[in-house]
Amino acid sequence: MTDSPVTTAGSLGTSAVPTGPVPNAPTLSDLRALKAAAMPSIFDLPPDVEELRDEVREFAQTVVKPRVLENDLAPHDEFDWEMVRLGHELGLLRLTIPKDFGGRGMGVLGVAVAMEELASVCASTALIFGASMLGQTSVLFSGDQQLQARFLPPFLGDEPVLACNGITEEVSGCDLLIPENAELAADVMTARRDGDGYVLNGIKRFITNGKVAQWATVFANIEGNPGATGLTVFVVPLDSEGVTRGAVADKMGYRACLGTTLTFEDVVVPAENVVLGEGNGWNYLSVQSNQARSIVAAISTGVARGALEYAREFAGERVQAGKPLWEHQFTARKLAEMSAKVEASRLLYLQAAYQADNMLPAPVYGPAVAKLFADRAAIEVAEEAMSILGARGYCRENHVEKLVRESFGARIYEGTPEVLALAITGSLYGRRV
Amino acid sequence: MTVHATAAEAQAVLADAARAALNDAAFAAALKESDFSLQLALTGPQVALRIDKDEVAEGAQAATVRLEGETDALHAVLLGQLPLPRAIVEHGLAVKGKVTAVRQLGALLPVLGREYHRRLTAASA
Repeated sequence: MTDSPVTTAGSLGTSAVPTGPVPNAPTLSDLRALKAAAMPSIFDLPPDVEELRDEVREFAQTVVKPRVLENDLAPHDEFDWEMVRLGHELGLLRLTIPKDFGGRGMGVLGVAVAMEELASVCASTALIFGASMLGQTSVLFSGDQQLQARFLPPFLGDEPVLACNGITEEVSGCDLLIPENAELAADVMTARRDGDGYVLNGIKRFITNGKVAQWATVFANIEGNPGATGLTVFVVPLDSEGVTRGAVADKMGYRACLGTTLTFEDVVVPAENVVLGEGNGWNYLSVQSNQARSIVAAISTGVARGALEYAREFAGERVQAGKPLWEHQFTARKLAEMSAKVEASRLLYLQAAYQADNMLPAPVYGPAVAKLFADRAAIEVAEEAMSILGARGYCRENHVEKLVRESFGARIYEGTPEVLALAITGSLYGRRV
Repeated sequence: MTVHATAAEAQAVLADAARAALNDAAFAAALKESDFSLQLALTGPQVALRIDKDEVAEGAQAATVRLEGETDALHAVLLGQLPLPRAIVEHGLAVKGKVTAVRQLGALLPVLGREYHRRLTAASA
């Protein structure tokens, strides 16, 4: 009989998971740092990325973590601008803006590593910043100095400003992510040429940051082209006449970031807001998606790592049959599998991010494989963490049930497993790189 | 119909333009400052060049950034008819190497383009 203060996991009690560190045990982050110091790796992060990782880790632990439960349990349309402001102070809204513009000049690898750190505490918070960067990508990639002069400076000011990316629609979801479906895409948002500009009409759905962003990268089909074959990218200020921000979706996870409908009714957009010229939407999308998938794989890795950290802590303290759970073979096996999945996910996203930083356009295969694997790993690891914590894992106060809910999110955005499978097999059969 | 009739012509014009660009103090200084080198690996007609702060070498030696694609696409970029990002998404130009260095490449291309244009003009005169 031990004198452990921990109650049995089988009863639906509400006692909190012990939150203190296991005596004399380093945290998982510390362990990784020790391993990194002691062991050679083919993935030595560049010094600026290591520095960013450490800064974001501290931000995640000290700023985000104390707010996680409150933001998750808040009404679905509340938004924590204060947390975003603190992230902005750290530079999270200008991570990918070049240094000579006043940004932090990070590539995909830096962003991905930062996202893992944020998502290990709160994937929802990671997505606020990630979705904003995704919106910025069009302007950054375009190399168009007038677009950059008009739309990047807000991210360099004192107050936080967000961007968003508008692809998904009510009828056309995956059809706007699979190039071969372009002709079949139905009811796609239209852009009608009108004098020196365009008039946009249509509805975008589930747009992360749509409720709070200053401007959006918007994909619309030039009128007269079948399906989405005339897909074109526009930058649209969301205070433009004719833009309506709809109700915030009441989601099962990712509740701190607001997903909303954006309705465009006869919205006039000047020609200079077109990114990369008319009809280049699909070509640009391949650049953007392959970068973004590396980053989403990092978010899923973060979710899995967060779940593993909770499970590891609990299994280190929880005593049954006279010994801690981790010394029981069943639990040890679970923890080992979870750990392997986190490590494999990380290696895959680091490889994909490295490719994206060293190849333009980024390849299809690596990022798709990384995201497919990491998204599934996040779900599996979060589910196992919940099973290890038992009743405590099922209670809201212990974060693990939030990780379970959020683990399913990344499987949807930036390419479902079905979309990724087509991308991967397209590469296997030589249709794509 | 390609801009350059033969690979030898394309190679000669681009190599000559690159050597002239190296005489531009700002161009050479930018290459030196960033330790930047550029490999052109172009097809149809084939061009294989390497440009660094010291010299222009003909052949397929590795560099900081490798630019792959069709010679005609680079021709349009150098003449300012096609922005590099559009050449990447629309005409299959691909950059291998540090993507962050593409901005440096963008800054260097106008000088290379100016010299390239001079040689094309002289050849057609």
